[in-house]
Amino acid sequence: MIESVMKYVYLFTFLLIASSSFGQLETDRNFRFLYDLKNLAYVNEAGDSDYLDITAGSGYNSNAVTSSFIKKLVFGGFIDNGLKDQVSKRLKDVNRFGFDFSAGVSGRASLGSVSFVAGLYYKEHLDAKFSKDMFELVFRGNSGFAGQTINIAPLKYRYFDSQSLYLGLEKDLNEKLRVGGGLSFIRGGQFNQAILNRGDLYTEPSGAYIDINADPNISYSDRSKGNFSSDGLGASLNLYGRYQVTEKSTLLLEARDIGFIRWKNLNNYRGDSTYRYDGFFIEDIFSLNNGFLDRYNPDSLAKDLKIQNTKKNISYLIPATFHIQYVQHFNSKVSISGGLKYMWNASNLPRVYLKGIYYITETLIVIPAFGYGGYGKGDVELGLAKSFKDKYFISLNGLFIEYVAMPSKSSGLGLNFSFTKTF
Amino acid sequence: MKTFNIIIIFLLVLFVSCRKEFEKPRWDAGILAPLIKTKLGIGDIIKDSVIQKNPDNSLKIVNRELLYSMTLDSLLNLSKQNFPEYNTSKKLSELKLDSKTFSHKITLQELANQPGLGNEELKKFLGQQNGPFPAISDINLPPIGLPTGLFFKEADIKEGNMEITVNNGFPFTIDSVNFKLTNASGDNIYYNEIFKNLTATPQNKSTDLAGKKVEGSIMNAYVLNMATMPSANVPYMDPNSVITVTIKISDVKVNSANAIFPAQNVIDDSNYVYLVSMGDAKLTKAKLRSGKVRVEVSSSAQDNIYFTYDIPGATDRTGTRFRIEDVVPPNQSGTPFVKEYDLAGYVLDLRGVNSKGTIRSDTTFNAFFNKITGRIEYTGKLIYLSLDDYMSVKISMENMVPEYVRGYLGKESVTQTGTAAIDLFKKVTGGNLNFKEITNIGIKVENGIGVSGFVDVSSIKGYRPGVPPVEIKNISTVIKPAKENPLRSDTSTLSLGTQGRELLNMMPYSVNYQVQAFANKDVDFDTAQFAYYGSPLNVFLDMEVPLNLLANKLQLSDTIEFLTKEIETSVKSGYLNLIADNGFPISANLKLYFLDANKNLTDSLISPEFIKPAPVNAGKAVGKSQSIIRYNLSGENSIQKILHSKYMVFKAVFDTQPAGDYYKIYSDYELDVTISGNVNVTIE
Repeated sequence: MIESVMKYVYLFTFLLIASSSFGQLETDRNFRFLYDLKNLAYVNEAGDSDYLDITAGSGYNSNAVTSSFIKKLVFGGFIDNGLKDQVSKRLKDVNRFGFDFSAGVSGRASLGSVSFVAGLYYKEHLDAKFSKDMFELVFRGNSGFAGQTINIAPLKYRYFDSQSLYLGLEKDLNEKLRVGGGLSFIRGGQFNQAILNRGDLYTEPSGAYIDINADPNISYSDRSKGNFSSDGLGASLNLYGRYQVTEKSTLLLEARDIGFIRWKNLNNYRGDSTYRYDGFFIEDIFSLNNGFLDRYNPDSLAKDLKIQNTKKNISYLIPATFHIQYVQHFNSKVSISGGLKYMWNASNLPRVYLKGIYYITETLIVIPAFGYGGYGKGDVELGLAKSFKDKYFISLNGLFIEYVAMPSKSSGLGLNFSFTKTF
Repeated sequence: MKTFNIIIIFLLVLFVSCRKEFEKPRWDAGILAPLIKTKLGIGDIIKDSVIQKNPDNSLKIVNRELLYSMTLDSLLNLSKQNFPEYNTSKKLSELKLDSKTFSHKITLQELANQPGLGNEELKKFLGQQNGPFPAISDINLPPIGLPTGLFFKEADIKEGNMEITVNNGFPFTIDSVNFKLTNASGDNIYYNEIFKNLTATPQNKSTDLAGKKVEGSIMNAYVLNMATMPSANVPYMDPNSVITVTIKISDVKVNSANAIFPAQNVIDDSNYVYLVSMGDAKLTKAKLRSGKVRVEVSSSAQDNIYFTYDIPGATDRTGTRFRIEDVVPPNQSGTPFVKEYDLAGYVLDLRGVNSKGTIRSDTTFNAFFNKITGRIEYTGKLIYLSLDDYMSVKISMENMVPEYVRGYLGKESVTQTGTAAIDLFKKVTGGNLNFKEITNIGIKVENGIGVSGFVDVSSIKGYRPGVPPVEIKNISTVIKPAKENPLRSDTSTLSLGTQGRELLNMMPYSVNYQVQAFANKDVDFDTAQFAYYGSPLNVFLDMEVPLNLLANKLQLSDTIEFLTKEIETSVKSGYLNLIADNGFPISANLKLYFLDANKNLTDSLISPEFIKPAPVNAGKAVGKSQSIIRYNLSGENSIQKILHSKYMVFKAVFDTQPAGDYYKIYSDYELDVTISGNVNVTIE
């Protein structure tokens, strides 16, 4: 019984961070362009070659939650105190977590000086921002906080999935500058969001009551419609440019996914006041007939806590990525690349990175990288790319690969894969 | 290219198939949260409805248990069987036909133009001016067809009259003429009269139609053997002069006829209905709370019968008489016409008020007058009706429930034995509860019936398991009738004396009783008596006890249904806190026992600790004392047993503190209870 009560308290106060995830991960650009930059043999008369590309990638990262912990959350199993302690040691006042999955097919066809680009994508995105106390409350309970006020805000959690059709154009304005842009038409799938801007929780030492001072705002789409249901429609804009600074250096600028999705008929629970939960009142202790516990349910709890439950339409500005990258070729074997990426409206910090590019052969390159920011702290990446017959390219990029060496002290993991055929 | 496509498909399948459902994550968490809260007042121990507040806010028990009730139904069950069925079959009493008149004009020219010697002779004089006119005989006219079929085609005439009027417009006097009416074939002669000396003054002659049978669509009129008187000078033998024959058929009543009937009553019957099985009750009036008149009518007539059913003595609140008007369709082929009419709300004068509003001397009670009529209406169509046609009528009263009755209600004696549960003490399962004083305990009789009588409580016996019963015998009282305008009961009280205190202190679970009630015992005949629905004669056991008490290990116990469905949980260990803020000057210890569906004990939550009593100042509790009592959950197995239990037995032991002192209980005393849990659970 206690467990069921607390589950509903959880529902109201926290987010189940371990739920499924989604998102539009910043997968960086396909390594194929490095070949384009390096070897003019791959470039057609209009500039870059036409291609058909299949890509998929997934990854998560956090500044606090360790990979060992995430592994248990995702793949199941018992999360013991040791795992919790790993995270607790790393927790800051405000912590981040993000997850993205993306898969798609795209292609480019040149017609004169203009290239047409089109693609189909499926994306999932999850981002979360949570306090230290929130983590401790969810994973250790409130009994350890008896007699204390804990801060469960800020909390921001979002998850959505979407499918999009992208249509765009690219054009070389001159020998040095290429610009492009396009529109995505987006079909939104599931959407879950929970926000606490203010949240204090006090547990009376004997458990006589719990005081909550919070402004919960929880929205979610109707889960009964199934995974392929859709109540959202939207659009976004992509813009980018590539400027050849010198013969051996290139500057790339990119702004992606500037747009929105409008979801209709979301279930919304909203409140903004101080609540005291002091148990379910029973009028007559001697007349508990017909199973008084049957009254325990989320709706009755929400009612007791004066949380309004309505149907609501929400226009959501999807996370937009702003990216600047500079590539410098030193010789036929070595290049470097550095950049700054920022995903707006995704509880994300700007991420800087530096990549080394080493051409082992003309058709095989290795790209080690170091980055800092995003959802995590400092992390290491390693990419490999290989071309076949000047027509086929395969690239594989491991993200946050420090996990391999220190899963209990690292916080991210991811993998990008792409397969490209040029024409 | 084919290889390329295969690779694409393979990669897509790989991505999709890699996403699968995984085991759910689990972790342990320590939860400290309130579960339930409640407020216990004295009303939770003794039911609210019996507690009243004294001016000083101290409380008292005012309890009433109904031992016996005599209602209007049990005193006088006025129902269907008291109303005999009105059952009659009536032939049509008479059948009238409208009067009919036929008129025919014959010109001198038409008469002269007919064949025959007399007619030929007459013809010679047509147009003559100022000349003599001889006597001419044997003037005849062929039969004239009268269209009687427009009114009747056949009729067996029971009585009636046919009159022929002749108006002679010829320029000469008719010495004699024979007028005859027959059927078309001439077999039946309906009229046959000779008119003499027909001058310009009209003559008429009648004939009786009784016993005659009329048939066919045409009736033939004959003018036979006309003879003229001679005249010395006729100014002008005008060929266009006319003789007018008028035939009038009137006052016709038939045994049967295929005719166009005028509107008329065909059945008219009335009688008095005398209520039966009334014993010695003599009712003069009854208002009906519910009831219906069921009418069942069969008719052999080939025409609609418009019937009315009238009870002059039944009137509604506006004074309108009960009257049914309805139509029985023709020839029902054995299927009766059945309909019910609502009598609810009507006041039935049972003194036999008839249609004129008068009351006969022999029907001054238990009777009412009713009247039924059957009628046909003019339709303009030929219909066959006979005096052998009949209408059967069956009228019964259904679901009669009186709102009130008035009159002499009769001598009645009812004996009732039974057991009344005393809810007041049903939760007490042990210990002692002593009341410092008892204001009142006794039998109260509330008579809501307008009849005087007598109530005899032969025995009243209190029972409680493990305690010797207390019995009080033979207490009785005369009861006075209730009064009207407004209706109010008469109350009589029977004291239980000192035995009443014994009965109360034993805290009975139930009381067995034997009560005898007599109506109109040793009372003169009186028709002003009444009884109302919902105003019974009740016999109560009343008690009034100030809550100034001493509890010594008083144990209250109750079994409640705990969980209607099993709860799956992963609670591993922990404890429950009972947080009590006690405003009573009474200490309490609570024990919970958990039972399975077969009521076998599965587990219990017991603590030796008592909830502390409130602090007392000058005999009254001031403020509240808080106690936190821990009930340890012994382990995961114990928790599972509790959460899979079906019933919970709640036992509470109360002691007034300090022991031996009596305490008044005040209305603001409350015990606030919160139960919280501090448990380790596995979240999944």
